[in-house]
Amino acid sequence: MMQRRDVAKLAAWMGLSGGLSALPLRRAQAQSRAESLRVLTEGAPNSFDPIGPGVNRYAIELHWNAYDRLLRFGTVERPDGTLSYDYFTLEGELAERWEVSEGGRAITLFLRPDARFHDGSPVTAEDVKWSLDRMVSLPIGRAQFATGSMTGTEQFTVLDARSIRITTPRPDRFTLPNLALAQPVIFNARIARAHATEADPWAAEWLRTNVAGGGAFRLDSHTPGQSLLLSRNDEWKSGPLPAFRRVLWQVVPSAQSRRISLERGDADLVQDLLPQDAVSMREEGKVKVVGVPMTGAFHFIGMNNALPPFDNVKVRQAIAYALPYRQMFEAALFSRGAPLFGGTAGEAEGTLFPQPLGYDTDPARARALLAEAGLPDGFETTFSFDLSLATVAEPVALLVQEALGKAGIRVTINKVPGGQLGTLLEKKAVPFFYESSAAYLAPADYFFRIFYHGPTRWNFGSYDNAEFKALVERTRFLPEGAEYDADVKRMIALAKQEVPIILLWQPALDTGMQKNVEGYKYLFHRMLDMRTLKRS
Amino acid sequence: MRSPLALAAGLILAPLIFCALFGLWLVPYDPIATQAGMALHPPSAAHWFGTDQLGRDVFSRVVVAARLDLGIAFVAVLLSLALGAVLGAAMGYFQGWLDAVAGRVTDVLMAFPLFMLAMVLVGALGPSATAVVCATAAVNLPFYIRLARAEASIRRHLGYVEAARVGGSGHGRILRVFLLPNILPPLLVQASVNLGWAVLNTAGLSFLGLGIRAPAPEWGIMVAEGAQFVISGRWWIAAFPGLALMLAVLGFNLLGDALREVVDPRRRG
Amino acid sequence: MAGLLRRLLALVPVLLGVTLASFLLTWLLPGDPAVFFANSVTADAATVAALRAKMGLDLPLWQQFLAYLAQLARGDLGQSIQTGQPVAADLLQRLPASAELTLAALGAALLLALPLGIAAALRPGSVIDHACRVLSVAGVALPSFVTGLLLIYVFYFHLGLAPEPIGRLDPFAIPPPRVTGFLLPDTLLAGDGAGFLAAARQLVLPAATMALFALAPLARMTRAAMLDVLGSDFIRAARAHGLRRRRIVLSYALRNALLPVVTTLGMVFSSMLGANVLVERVFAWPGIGSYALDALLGLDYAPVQGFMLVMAGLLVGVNLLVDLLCAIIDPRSGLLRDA
Repeated sequence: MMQRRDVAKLAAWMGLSGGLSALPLRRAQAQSRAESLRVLTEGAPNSFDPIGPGVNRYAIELHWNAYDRLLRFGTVERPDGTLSYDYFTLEGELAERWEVSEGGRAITLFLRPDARFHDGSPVTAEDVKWSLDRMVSLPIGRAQFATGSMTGTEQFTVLDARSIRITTPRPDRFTLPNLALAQPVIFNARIARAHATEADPWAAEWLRTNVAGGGAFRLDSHTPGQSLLLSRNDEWKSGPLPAFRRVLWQVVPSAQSRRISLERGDADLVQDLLPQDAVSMREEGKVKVVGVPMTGAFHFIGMNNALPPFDNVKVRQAIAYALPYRQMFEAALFSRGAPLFGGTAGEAEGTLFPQPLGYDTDPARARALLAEAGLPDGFETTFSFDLSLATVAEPVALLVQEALGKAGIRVTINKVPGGQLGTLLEKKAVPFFYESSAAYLAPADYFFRIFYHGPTRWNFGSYDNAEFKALVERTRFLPEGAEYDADVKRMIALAKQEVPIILLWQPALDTGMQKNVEGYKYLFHRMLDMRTLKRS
Repeated sequence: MRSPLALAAGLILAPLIFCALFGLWLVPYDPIATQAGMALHPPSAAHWFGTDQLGRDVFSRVVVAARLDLGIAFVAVLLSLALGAVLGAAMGYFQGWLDAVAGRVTDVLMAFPLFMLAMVLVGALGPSATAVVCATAAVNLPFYIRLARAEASIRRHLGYVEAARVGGSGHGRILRVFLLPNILPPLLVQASVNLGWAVLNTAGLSFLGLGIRAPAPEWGIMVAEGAQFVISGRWWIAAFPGLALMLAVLGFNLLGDALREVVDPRRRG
Repeated sequence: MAGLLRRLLALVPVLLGVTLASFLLTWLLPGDPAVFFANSVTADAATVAALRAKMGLDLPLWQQFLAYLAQLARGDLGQSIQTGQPVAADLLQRLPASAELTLAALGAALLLALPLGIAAALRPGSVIDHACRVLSVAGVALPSFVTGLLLIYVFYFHLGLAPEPIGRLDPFAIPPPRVTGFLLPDTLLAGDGAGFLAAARQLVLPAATMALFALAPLARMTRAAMLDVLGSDFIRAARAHGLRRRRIVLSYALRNALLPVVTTLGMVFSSMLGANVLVERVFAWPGIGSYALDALLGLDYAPVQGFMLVMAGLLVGVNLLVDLLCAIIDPRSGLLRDA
């Protein structure tokens, strides 16, 4: 709720001085407009706490910019000149440097001596300890940190005011990258503790609606569901000072309205463009469109490997050969993205995954495989997708229906409203569907552990193969090297030969901006890093 | 019927109903078949209304969609008309506990905004043509009940009903023979206007993604999907189904007016 | 006054029924919120179970309903997960936006519909009559989301006459101190003429979209009621007595024709509140309709229930108001009969 206090702040923000009693509605001065950035998104953050239940992706955009973490991923330049994060290099954010000892089981992090929170108090190892303790004490945080062998508060030890040690039962490749993810932010423990209660020892209630950190931007005001006002933290020491002094972030649900506003020059940057808009805006050339295929993210067609007929690998392969990939890619994504069809069949091409599965449209082969599977006349099934994905999934569904119909597979399309597909997937009740997901950590074994393994709904194909399972478990703590590479390649080969799910593509993350906005950087969480942006 | 209103309504509705009945066999293209390489073409001699994102012929889709849209509207309105008339007439005739209970239930139903209620109902039933029909019928039911109840409670004391009762007719017969036929005309007027609303309701639900199953052509979905392309200049995908939608609603409203003149000649002025 | 009291008492079972109905309706919605909100790919079955217990979804239905009633009795509508705010605060903040839009649209529609309806009734079958019909039918014949997009496209994108169709205020403007939550009165209270104009400009397109929608039933009803009254005995008598036509129309006929118009107004208001959803979506209007839709699609039940309760309460209130208005226009019509 916008209150008088906020209005005063807002006026100060605008560079207006005095005469507040009349509160005139005045446009911002031209100069302050040049130093401020206006961003439009479809949704709004529902929490400022990174690890609450149901925290949405817009929340990431807020806490990414308002909090610091111990580490961050490095930066690489993509072929088209766009900046992107680099999973394989780490750099310090609040930590100035770190040392790995005891054969990889202990990591000592040394904090920047000059780092301060927004309230001016120094960032100490106590704050870091409280923040990491909090991460492993809340269910959703623990589930994430467990992927880096961090599960208990006793693993975090304060050495002195500026250094902290993390110990893990065994060396784990994923411990350090976990510290660079969006979730483990460093809270100002003194403030947060003051708002903790007996029932709520980690101040989850308070931190959901308040920021207690030291990131590059401060949150000046927030009108839930409508707008956020951020201003630069001039004392920020964890990186180069951001160029924009203020960011006005507004929520505009309609994609058409967002686009018009950008093209007329009212907005500076618009996130999550629809593919067809990205194409036509680029053609018209009034604004800049930056598209980066989302690494780690993928769209796919899922088949429940536990249910007939999808328990038969020949049926899955038949479908993988029957799909009209290029037509789907063109109609649904307007070719904005990186294909995961085509490519080398049957064996690994490098150790990165997702990679193209080696299937392409081949109706004759599809029919032959179906006949081999004992289903020459096809079968009937239902193809489901979630309403929230409809713009992309709807054309895909229609083309799937049509193409499979030619092979004798009669498909009914089922549009599931309102996030209900998750519930059905959790019950493993969907035979055949379209979904998307993403992994934040890049290594292939991590990807397979989440999406091709185990009882959770994230094992979208309910894939259960003894050899694959053994490989997933074996690679968990295997250090990088020839042995690891061989195992990963075998898993990739299996994923291609057995197609538990049919990967389609990695869609592009299309962001539109004025031509004078520069420094856009693509991040693993796909939300905006306001710290690197500038106006030329 | 010499009324110009009825003529206008007929001129608009007849082709639409013709499309609904026979369109499926007359259209130049399969409304569902996609055509790679033909996507997003503007109107031409081959494709009168252009093609959509998947290269489907918009003209064929608009024509075939008439069946689903008009069908949903007719079935939903008939359903609420039939149920509402019987229930409302019984309430007005018997009064007593039935009237009290059913009256409260209609009050509760009417306390929700119509469209919102339809949205939640379709959400609960899952999106399908049946769900849209049920939701539309349920949401409209209270209006028919109220109207029928009011008409019946006025008539229950009229001479011919009293006479029938004295003459030994049972309640069922009185309702069936004397009340229902007499309260039907005002209900029919309501129904004809309601048809237009039902078409719009279906379209609105589709716009929010709570409508008909793809790939069945439906005007509302077509407009909603086409709206994404209007800004980039591909107006035809949304414009033609929008026009069809508009004509249907217009036709039903005119029909309502014409019927009103027949039922209530005093208003002819 | 006893009539009014009886009317108020009759509201109690309706409101109770509304509470039960909104609870059951959201319960009927398929989908498990606990699964939906355990949305990180590292969440396993234990995370989901912990979340379900925390949200009270593991209790039997009747216990959930009792807990809900107890919560309502404390004036608490629950917590929205999607916005992270208490539902009551969310609704309170957004209601004025929806109400301002709806009232502005209703006002505009009335200003246009009354003269149009009267003119059409005075000359049935004339050009004006047909124009009235075409305009009013055209208004309802297009879905409001299409009308809205069309207006944006023409007036903002092409002609540049309308301001950016986003929200209630110019984004770089300072909102007035919140008194009523309605921007038009608030800017006036703050003595800010420019702000008033800015807020009004922002309101024009969405209000016009909704007004088109409301125009048809109002104009039709005005026309029908006026025709009815003009054909009645007492107007004929007045004519026979040689009263001036203007006087007959404006004071006698209109007054009597207002009754059905006011009743229609209540119904139009109800359908507009529902149709708000679509218009608010198109214009990024921060109202309660789009709020409820997001909640419905996001399996966030507390806001959906809260929204339905508030809407129902509002409609019941409006209907009461309509009845009161009718009683004032025509004391014979009921409500205040024994006052």
